[in-house]
Amino acid sequence: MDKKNHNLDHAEYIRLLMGSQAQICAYIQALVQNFQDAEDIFQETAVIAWEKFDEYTPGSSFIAWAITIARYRIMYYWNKNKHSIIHYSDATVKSIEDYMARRAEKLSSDLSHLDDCLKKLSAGDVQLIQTRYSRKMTIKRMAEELGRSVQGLYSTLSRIHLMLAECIQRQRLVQER
Amino acid sequence: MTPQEKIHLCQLILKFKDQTIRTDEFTLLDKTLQEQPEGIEQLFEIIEVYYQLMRTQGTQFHAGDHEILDQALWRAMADVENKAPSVDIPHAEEPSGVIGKVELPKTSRKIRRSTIFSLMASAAAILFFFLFPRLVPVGDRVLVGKLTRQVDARWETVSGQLAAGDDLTAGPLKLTAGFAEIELDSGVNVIVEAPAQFTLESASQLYLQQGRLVAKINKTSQNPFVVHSSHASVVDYGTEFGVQVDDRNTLTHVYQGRVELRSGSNPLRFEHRMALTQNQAGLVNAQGEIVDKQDAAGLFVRRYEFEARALAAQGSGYHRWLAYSYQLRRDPNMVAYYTFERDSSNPARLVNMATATSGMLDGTLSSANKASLPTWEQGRWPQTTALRFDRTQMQVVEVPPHPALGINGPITIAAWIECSGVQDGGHIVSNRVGTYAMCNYQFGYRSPSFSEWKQGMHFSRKADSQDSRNQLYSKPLPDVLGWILIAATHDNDTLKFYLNGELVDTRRWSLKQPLVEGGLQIGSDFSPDDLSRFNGKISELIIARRVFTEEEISRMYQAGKP
Repeated sequence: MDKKNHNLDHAEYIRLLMGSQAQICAYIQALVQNFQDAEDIFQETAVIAWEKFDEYTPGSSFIAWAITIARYRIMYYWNKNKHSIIHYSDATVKSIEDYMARRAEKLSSDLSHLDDCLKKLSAGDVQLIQTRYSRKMTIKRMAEELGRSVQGLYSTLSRIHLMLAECIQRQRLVQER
Repeated sequence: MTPQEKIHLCQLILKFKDQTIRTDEFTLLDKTLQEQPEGIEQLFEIIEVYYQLMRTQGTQFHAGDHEILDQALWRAMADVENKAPSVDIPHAEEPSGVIGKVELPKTSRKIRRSTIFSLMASAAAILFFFLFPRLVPVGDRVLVGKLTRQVDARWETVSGQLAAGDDLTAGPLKLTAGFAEIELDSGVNVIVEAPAQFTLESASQLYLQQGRLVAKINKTSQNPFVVHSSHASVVDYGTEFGVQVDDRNTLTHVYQGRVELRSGSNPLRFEHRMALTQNQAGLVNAQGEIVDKQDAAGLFVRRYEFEARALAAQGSGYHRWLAYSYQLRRDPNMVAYYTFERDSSNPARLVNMATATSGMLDGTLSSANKASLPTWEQGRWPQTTALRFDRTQMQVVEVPPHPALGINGPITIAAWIECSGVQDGGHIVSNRVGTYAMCNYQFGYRSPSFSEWKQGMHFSRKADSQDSRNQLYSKPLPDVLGWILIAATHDNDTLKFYLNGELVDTRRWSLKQPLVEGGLQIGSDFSPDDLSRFNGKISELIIARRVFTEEEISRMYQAGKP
């Protein structure tokens, strides 16, 4: 590969990767329990995808191609850590992959709605989210500090997550109209 | 998925990501994702939010000036889950603490996990429904609309019955009897028909677990209005539409405007979609497939019918009949239904009101001597009209031949007629090929006091005019003047005659003729020299392709008596 073509390929690769990063990350995060491990697998996937980019057929689904690479990285990760991590059954993994195959292209990569939706939360809910995600406090620790049960806090956080998910979808629906 | 199931699944996903999930919980999560396609949709929705939040390290969030619409609902559901009694899940042998590795059980179980999950979901739904009003303080609930009117309504709520004018907050409702009209703050009018179980999720979103409703968008709303069920979503684009949800299907019919029917409970994540416009209907089945649907317009109670019921409940006789009449029109077996309302745009036309044959089978006022047509007069109420037939003028209403009119199976014919003396009555309706020819059905009544026609009612299904053994008469009836309801039913085996809602005669009559295509004559029997043409007034005529029960005929009389 000469320098000029290499540069063109690189630009194209970056364009494709940026356009599908959200979907690939979602796939890896859905399957891998630990957030940071999933981030690492995404980075490894991105590196391998670049190394193998000459095997990618232009015009075909980049997401599907990259997810195939990610799948092998995840399987390697599971195998390497088989005594310390949990993973879904084969049937569930297949269901998730079937879903990705059908829907990956339709999953939105527009992440701009979260900020707007966070503004719609009550002050108490924002504080919980901030404590959990910005200050990285564990649920157990939060429960101790707030004097609530772990289960109760999970219920509350689930409610907030669903609200945010629904809000994001609503905003997209409005945008779609 | 129900809101409760969503909350529960979200908890499991968050625990999975936090690495605090127990073995039994992970098994349940795995199973749910396998068995419920919606579960995977939700997995990706939650992962998307989780992923973005995890990457907002150090960001300061700010609360907005107003809370999201569904706040109280979601809080209530969280509270219910916090406080509801726990549901036991059979545990595996290993300790139930946080796990590092999961081995899915390989031994066969007597109770399937999916069964346990279903039971848990059902229990959660029941707990949610009954505990919601107790657990959520009134001040914390978000108002989403108002119960504007109701008719014979019975609600199943812990806090008792709802009354017209009550504010409605986000949360579940169960209507066990009657009808209710809800005005949502988004400008959406909803008519709910019992039995129905639904959740007001916000002013612009409703989850219909089971039942029927009609939604009409009265003004432009910022958000689209969504009705969704466990397996479909109906996204409104400014319209009036009905939705019916049962255990297997979600059906929608569009009366005005346009909606989009989408497979899947989530209106944004769907496999298939179908755009529907006026008078179109679609159905999402249990497999998530969308199919065209016909003849669904009559399934739903629309606003005008609800209003008639509301006025009937206040004692208006006319509206009592009108409400019943609307219901009758929607009967899918109603072949022809004439209410004898004068059509001011075309007074020579008698309009067929049956929904199933709407736009067809209208009649034309006529007379054999071309002299004068039947005349429009007041009907049973000042708001209604009727047709007066003059026998001497050989007046009739003619409906052209149509396949829909041919009935040789079970049948009901009923008519409201006015007889002021022995001269009144005669042939009411006849469906046959032509003069003296084969007759699919014919029905008549004459005052028993009239010397030439001593029986009250007759009903025939005969090969021709000579086939007199297949023209059956009722036993002599008491002479009743004024507005009367006469009816006959035949199930190819038994003929029944009714007078004013009461069964007056039953005859064994096993007969099923071949079918011919013929027109209708109302007020005559096709014979040019018919001496028994109808004389008097007719204000309603019903021809149905099924046998009405005694109770139904009685109700017809009670609803329609002036």
